[in-house]
Amino acid sequence: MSTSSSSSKKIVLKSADNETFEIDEIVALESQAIKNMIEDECADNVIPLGNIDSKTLSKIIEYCKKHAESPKKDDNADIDEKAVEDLKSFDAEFAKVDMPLIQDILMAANFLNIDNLIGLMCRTIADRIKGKTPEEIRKILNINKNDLLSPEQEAKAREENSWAFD
Amino acid sequence: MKNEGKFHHLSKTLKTLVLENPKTDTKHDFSTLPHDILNKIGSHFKLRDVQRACLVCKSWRNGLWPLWEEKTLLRIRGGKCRWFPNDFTDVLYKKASLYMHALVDAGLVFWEIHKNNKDGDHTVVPAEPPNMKEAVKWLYQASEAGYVRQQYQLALCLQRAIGTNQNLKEAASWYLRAAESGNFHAMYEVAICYSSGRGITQDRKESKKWLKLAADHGHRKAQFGHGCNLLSEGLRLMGAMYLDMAERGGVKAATDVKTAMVLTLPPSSRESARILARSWHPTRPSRRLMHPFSAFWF
Repeated sequence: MSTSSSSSKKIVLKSADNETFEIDEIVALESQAIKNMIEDECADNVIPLGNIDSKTLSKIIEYCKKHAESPKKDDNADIDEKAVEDLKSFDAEFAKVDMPLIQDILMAANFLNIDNLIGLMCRTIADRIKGKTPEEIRKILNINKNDLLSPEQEAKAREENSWAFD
Repeated sequence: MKNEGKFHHLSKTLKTLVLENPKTDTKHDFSTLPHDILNKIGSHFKLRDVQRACLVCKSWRNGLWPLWEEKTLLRIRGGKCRWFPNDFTDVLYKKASLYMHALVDAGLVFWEIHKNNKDGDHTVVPAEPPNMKEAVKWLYQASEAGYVRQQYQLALCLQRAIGTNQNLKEAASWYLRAAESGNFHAMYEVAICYSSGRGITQDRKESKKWLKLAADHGHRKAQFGHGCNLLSEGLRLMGAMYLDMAERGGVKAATDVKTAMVLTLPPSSRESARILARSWHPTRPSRRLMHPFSAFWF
């Protein structure tokens, strides 16, 4: 582990495919859900995450590590611009993954309650489908064909959407 | 990549079937996103994108519907809407049961429809004559809840018999309520009511008081009227100041009265009237009825 915090208590996370990840407590605290667990002292040494596979989990840990290392915004006012820029470019780079993985990360982040990461993923998805037609969005996001609107519903929706705005 | 790893042991046909038919990949189906996440995504959208996203699938439509309504209402309140389908009233009704602000929206929307229809150009909706009765109904509720602008609009409706029977007495009392809350259009109307005895006992003194208040709040016609009042009382300098302001606000009649009047002022006073007018600021709308300008009187 790269962080050198003195009281580095370790937390072990276990993914759905039984792979274990040992991380510093401070990294795990990025997740509000794990934080609550630790505060309520109902976390054993190993926290099983039955619905997150190891690929997703390793990505999330990568994200949490980076964000745990960089100074928090409300810590002090004089955080250097460089750290903020650095974090921004990290986020941009982090989001350059394919759609299925984005969804996995999003759902896992939602489960673990990591606000920043949820926001980042939502922004990424929004950016990718902005300005696209419904058909294109369906294709990009692999929308289940069983869930499509019926022709009547779609016609109604289109009519409702057809307002003239300047 | 991931799929290939997962399916390497499958026969080639099955593999192509699975890989080339993303429909079967139900795990990564974005229609299953929880609605709160959907709304977070939607928060980055403009109205047009929300409209499109609503068409993607049932689940998205249900999840994004409140956002669509909200963004649409915002656009209408911003005055950007030129027309909309008749059944939009349903949306307003539904929202009205949720919050008070929707009452205001409903009243404003009907009001705007009516105004557009009167203007005559670029209006498409609604097919039936504008439902001003409906508007008045909403305006009543909003007014009684204390919305000042709606009180003023309601009074206008009552006075001009728009969507309701004419009731000058009630109109005057709503004008008065709006004026007391600081609406300067209403102050001007109250002044007219008092001076003409329209729906209220005639009272020249009250009329002058409200006219001055409206003028001090920046109402152009009131400034003209108040300026004339002052002139008739012999307060030429102050009169000139109010006329000057009215003139700059675009009241044409003020120019004539002023030119005629300024000639009777000594040159030094002409300049001071202009300086006074330039340094004038409208009284900030407030609930106070006493205005802070009394020190100016001479």
